[in-house]
Amino acid sequence: MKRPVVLLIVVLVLTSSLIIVFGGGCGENKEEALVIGITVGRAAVYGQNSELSAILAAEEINNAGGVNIGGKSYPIKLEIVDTRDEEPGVPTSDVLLTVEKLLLEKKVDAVTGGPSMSECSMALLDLYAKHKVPNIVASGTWTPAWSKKVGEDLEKYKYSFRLSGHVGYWASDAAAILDQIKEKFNFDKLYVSSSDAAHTVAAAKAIKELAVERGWQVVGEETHPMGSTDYAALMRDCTNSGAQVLFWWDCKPEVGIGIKQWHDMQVPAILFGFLNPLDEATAWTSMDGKVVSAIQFNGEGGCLPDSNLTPITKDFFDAFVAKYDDEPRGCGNVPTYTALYALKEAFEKAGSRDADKVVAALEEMEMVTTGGLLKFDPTNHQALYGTDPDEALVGQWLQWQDGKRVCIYPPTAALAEIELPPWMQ
Amino acid sequence: MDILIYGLVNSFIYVLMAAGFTLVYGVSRLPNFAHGALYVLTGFLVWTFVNSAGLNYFVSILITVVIVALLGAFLYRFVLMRVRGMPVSEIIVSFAVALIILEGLRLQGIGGFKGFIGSSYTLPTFIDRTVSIAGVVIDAQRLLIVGIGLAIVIFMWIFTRRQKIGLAFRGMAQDEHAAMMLGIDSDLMAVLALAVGSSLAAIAAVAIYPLGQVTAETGYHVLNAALAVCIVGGLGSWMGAILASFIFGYATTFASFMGAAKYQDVILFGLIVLVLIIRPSGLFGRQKELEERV
Repeated sequence: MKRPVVLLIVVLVLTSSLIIVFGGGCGENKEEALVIGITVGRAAVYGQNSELSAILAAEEINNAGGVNIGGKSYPIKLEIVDTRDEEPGVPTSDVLLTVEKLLLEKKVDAVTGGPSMSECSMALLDLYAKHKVPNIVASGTWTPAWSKKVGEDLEKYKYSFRLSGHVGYWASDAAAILDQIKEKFNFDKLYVSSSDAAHTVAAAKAIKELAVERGWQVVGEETHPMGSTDYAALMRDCTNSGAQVLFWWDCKPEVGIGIKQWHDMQVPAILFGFLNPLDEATAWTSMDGKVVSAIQFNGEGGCLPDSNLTPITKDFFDAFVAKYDDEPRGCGNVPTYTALYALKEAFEKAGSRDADKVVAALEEMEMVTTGGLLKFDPTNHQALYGTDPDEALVGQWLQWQDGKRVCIYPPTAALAEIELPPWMQ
Repeated sequence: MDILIYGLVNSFIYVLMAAGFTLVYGVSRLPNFAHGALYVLTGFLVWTFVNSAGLNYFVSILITVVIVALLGAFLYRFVLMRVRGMPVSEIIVSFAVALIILEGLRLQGIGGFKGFIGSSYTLPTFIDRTVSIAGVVIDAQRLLIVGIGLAIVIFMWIFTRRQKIGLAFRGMAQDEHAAMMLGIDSDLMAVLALAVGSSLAAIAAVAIYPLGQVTAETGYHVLNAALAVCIVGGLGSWMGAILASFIFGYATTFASFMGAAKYQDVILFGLIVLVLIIRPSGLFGRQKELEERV
């Protein structure tokens, strides 16, 4: 009885060793490729977006000859890890462990992607500083606190950059759209709603303050639990308040129920904000057209059909559709795609894999990308966002018109004007 | 009037979510923590049959309900039967099955499977129109939920009083040992209870999912709702579950319409604590009472 058990153990040990040696576990020859770690929360939309765009960019770069470092070309090798940061019950410490394992075992030259959860990205700053690995946050992490923390000790956190935007930029965009609505329709009554999460409540508060500064009257506001399944009370209150615009910030998929109720109850207010289901390219068909005229923040620019922010915007969009037979969602796609190209450029300019030289190249970078001109703020390593893609990166806002996602903001990229819901016309 | 109508709808949503869980526990004393996962699986199976296989919506629903019922039966026969009578193991095993299903649905990469991630998975409504009842605008799908919930309550009442298997279910629920002495096969009843309970979860899913999106996360919410209803109603008590559903449905609707939507969960869990302090076995439960008698 004992012999077969011993034999089984020997076979298992041998098999594991062979897998480790030939499967690339720890015998990877780092010299043959530029190893980029991609950290994504696979169970969530943002993580999925990042992974798809990272793979697309790496394939394009490798097909074009790879990364030329000091006269020698290296293909990019992606080491993709699932940080699980958006799964229920996964603590930040687990995310840190996953990334530390990536840094120690895979000996990555740089890291990009997520995690998307701000608290995880904030905690990772110290880890990257400790291991001196250049990294670019390119998925979510929209808290202004990230750039504040980096800016407060730039010497320590110099290896970290952020290519995704932050709520400060998006709130300014939203305020500018409110200006447009006010001017075009002579509206000035606003209802503000959000789910009960720290980031959504903060975003709603910022919008409310900016709106009041611009002469809007906030006629009602409410907060509901995350994942609510009935929004009838919100719709009734919004209708009764006389609001002409319903600004709503909610990141959970369940909010689709509320969008349908807004349509079914014909709430006489433009629906405007950041509502997860509206970001899907298939939202019109999957929600029976009930998204008509809803205005949605589409994240970092470059993911809308027919957009030509820069000469290469459409190339990305078409390449994505050709590879995945699906249009890219808003958040995480363009920043991760751009981050791969930014790292390529930085390594080539540095002429070596030395982390400090790569960081210096990123700091000096000025590159035309899918979503606009990429430059990092030298004081906090935040990519600069604005409203003109010739001068900075831009965020894009869409409105669902005739079954399509149409860009309505920023003005430099808008393809249509804002329309009222059919029942308000 | 808004509170009355939407409270009724939300109450029946709780009834639908908890019906299967209550039935299974009542008959077999098994807490099926995979209940929410079976609910979610139903949504994705129907979506796949309709959108990938091109099947008719109602045929897809029928096939899915049968598949999920069989899955429930297999779950008992090949997994839960082995640990029956060990309460902690029953919970761990059934929750493990739930995690395998829920996280498996989001898993990417195997055989090119993209994972069910995002907000693009929806089921069509049965009737796409709105009606006005006493000035309150409501969509027909919500009224249908009330109808389906009511039909299930009536069906289960008749089933457990007029049908042989239903009477056996009641016998098991009242006293398992006495029922076994009368020739009722406990394991067979548990298999059937899991099958019927799972099909009730499936029916709940096809009734409720058309209101919004099909997502894996819903599984945890449905399990929480079912647990809350069953604990407050009294584990295994059909009447208790219905009463608890109405308490939760009206309490949360009242909170929303009175401008306290964000306190819905506080009210929900506060009610659980309050009821358990006053009646530790729940409104219609008898566990504590029996324990004290022994």
